[in-house]
Order: sequence, then structure tokens, then C-alpha cells
Amino acid sequence: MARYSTTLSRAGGPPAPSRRRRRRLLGMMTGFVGAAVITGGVAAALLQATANNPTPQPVTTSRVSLTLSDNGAGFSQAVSGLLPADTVQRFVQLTNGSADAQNLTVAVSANSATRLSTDATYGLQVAVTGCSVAWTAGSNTCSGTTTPLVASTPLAGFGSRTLVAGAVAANSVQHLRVTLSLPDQVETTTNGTLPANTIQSLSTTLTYTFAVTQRPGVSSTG
Amino acid sequence: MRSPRSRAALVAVVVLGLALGAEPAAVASVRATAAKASAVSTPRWSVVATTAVASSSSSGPLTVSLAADSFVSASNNGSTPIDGAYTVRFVATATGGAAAEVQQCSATWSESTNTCPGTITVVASTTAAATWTVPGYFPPGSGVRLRIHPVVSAPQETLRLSVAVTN
Repeated sequence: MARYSTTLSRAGGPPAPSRRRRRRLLGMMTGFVGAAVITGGVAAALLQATANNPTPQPVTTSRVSLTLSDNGAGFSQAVSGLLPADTVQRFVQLTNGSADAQNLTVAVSANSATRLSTDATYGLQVAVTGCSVAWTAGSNTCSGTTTPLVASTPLAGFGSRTLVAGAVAANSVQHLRVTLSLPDQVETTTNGTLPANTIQSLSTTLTYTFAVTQRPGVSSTG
Repeated sequence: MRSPRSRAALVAVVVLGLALGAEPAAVASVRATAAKASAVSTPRWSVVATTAVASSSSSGPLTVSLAADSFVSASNNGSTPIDGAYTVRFVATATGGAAAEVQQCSATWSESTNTCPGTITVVASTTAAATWTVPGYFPPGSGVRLRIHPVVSAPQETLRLSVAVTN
């Protein structure tokens, strides 16, 4: 812009520029200003800086898993011919395959509605006991420490019961004894005919479902 | 044409509406389960009196003639063994006021000669019902042979024998 200037003085006084010359000058100045603005803007667009981490940051997600296995016959063995006052034990192991699990629960449900599963007084009862080491299934013994986890509870309305509240230790194994019992009760069969509302000759299939959930989400810098 | 003030108010309403209508962030809950099924069943305890071999469906009291001695079976037609833990009770009733006994032999009856090489025990009679001491362990399908003995022959009368099993 400094390249262009208007002759301002001459000996004897500056001559007044003509109108056309003034317009031309104004136009040139406008053009030069505009070009300067445009040029300056493009230059600004080309100036850019970036920054990034030289080493990629690995991100992984956790896993919640639970494995059920029989100790001895376990749940694979059916309970047949269960008489009043009988108790039957089954031994299983639960392995928590994750580091972020909590609240281990058990739910027991029957696939058919019979007196075994609907009668809270004379129907099936379920109890769960833990052992600090694996149960000896054959002799029904625990060489470690036993912990009652679920007291004998009617199957009717059993729902879901808590075995471990709070965090479940990573890769821990729960050694469980599940006791199934039929309360003592008296029935008389006369001439081959069963009594009404009998507990005899009933059958059902029980499904034992164990579950853990993820721990609550946290905000951390670690 | 809207005034700036009304335009601003419209924008505010839209923004507020979006905020109120937005769904709350879903609470994630990852869960792991392990399940297994196991069958459970209860048996049937039952004893019936029959002249022939009893089946699981046999039922009803037994009626026999009191013309002469006759042999019947008290059979376990249930699905669980009958032993001393059960109470088996016979009730014998006769028509016409006839008198008869239900007898057990400590050995095996010789039915062809109508004799008992051991000791005869009356397990029930028309004069009194009796609780029978189950002699041993009877798995399903097995039974005990008993003799119906009319005190006095009464060809025109019959005896009705009923059996009840209590656990």
C-alpha cells in the first residue's frame, strides 16, 4: 500500500486531482485492502498446529463370568424317591472368573406347579451351606470352615437369595452344599388309593440359577 | 416477521423442550449367570390284598368266599420298599355275621396241603382290626402270603379284606 502514494506537493502548490483519477485511486485502494484481507485470511488458515500422544493408549473392557461345576454327582444326579423327613445333599462349585463382580445370588424354580413347589409347609425346602474348601461329597464333610448361606427355606416363594453380598473376590471359588428336604408328614394309602392332595407320586425339575452382577461404575484417574 | 424478542423466546422454548424430553442415561448392569436343572420325585407307598399277582394299578379291598380256607397276597404295589418304618393295618369284615381270621405263617405256607411248617399268627380277624408287623423288607412287587380262615365254614358268606399303609 505504501507503494502507492499521491503526489501531494509541487512548487507553486499541488494541482487538484481530477475526479476520474480520484475514483480510480479509491478503487485501487479498495482492491488492495481486500486482497490484503483475503491474503491474510488464507495465511491464517494455513497456520495450524497439532499434538498427539506418541504411544497409542490401550483401552480394554472387563468381563463378568460365572462357572458352575458339579462336585461329585452334583446337580446331574436326580433326587428320586424322596420320602417325608428325607434330606438329600448335592455339592457344586461356583467359580467367579472376573475381578469386577458382586452380589452372588441363587434362585431355585420348578418347571411345574405341584405340591412340592407350591406348599410352603409340606413342600420342598432348600438350604445352602458354604465350605472354605471343597466339600467331600461322599461323606458330606467339610474339612475347613462351614458357613450357612441360606437357611432351610420353602421352595414355594424361594425367589432369589443372596449367597455373597458385596464384592465377590476375583477368581474365587464358592464350595457349596445344597440340601433338599421334604418335611415330615403322615399319609395313609388305603387299598392302593392315594389320599387327596397327596405328597406321593409327585415329580418336578428344579433349576438352580446362580448369578453375579458387575460392580457399580466408578470415576478414577488410575 | 418475528421480532428478535419473540425469536429468542421460541429458541428458549425449543431448547427447554429438548432438555425435558431427553431420556436419562441408561444404567448399565452386566450380569453373569450359571444354571443347572435337577429332577426330583416322591414315591408311592401302597399295599393291596389280591388273589393274583398285584400290579401298580391294583386297588380296592379284596372279597373272598368263606366256604373254606383260601390264600391271598398282601402285595407292595407302590414304588418304595415297605419295611418296619411303615404301619400296615388289616381290616376284615364278613357278611352274615361270619367269623374269620387272617393268618400269617412264619415259614412258607404249603398251600397244597393247607399247612404251615412254622408258627401261625393271626394278623387280623372279623372281630378286631389289627396292625400287622411287616416281617422284613418288601421291595415293590413283592408280598406276603396270608390265609383267610373262616372259623366256621360259611359258603354263602364273604369276607372283605382292606389294607391301609401309613408312613
